[in-house]
Amino acid sequence: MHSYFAMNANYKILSYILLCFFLLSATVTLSAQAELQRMQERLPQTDALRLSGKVGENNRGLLEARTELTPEERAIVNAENADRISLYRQIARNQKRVRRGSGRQRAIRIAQQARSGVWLQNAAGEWLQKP
Amino acid sequence: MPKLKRGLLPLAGASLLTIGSFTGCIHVKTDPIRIEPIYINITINHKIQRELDDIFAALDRQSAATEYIPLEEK
Repeated sequence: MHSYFAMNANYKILSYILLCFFLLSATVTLSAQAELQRMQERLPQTDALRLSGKVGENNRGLLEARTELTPEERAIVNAENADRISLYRQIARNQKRVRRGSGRQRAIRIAQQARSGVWLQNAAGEWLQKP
Repeated sequence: MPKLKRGLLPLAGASLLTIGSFTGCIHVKTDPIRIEPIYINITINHKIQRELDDIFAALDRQSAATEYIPLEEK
């Protein structure tokens, strides 16, 4: 009888832990969804800025101005970077790492996938245009 | 006329010597410039890459500035 209750209590604790884990991951997913939604909405503008060479992808996984930007363009870049930083923070939290680490990992992937003409900053800090 | 020629000869010789000595002075030897290669270690964390891909894959597929490359399985 005693062991039955003990087992029941263990199950209860386990179910609480699972519930907490589920709620936490659901919160993180929902937050990520909001950022991704905003990033998707501004994709035509960020694409245009990247393809025109006005902004480049730096080695921390963020957009960086390469020429003088208009206030509207500057606002787009800032909003995009804020969402990216938020996502990198979430990933870093999941992986128990620093945010900059996941940003740098994202920069590697961006460089791999970037189309010709996009400006990229390498790990040494040099800016190169993707051939 | 021959007097003039005689007067000009040392002058021409002196100017040639001066030019010659200057030529000797401005001869500068330059060593070939060697561009040393820069080695940078890039550590790819596959666990983070996987999680990044889960989040950004849809966006990368839609973007005109990127060409989505499926992540290699490790």
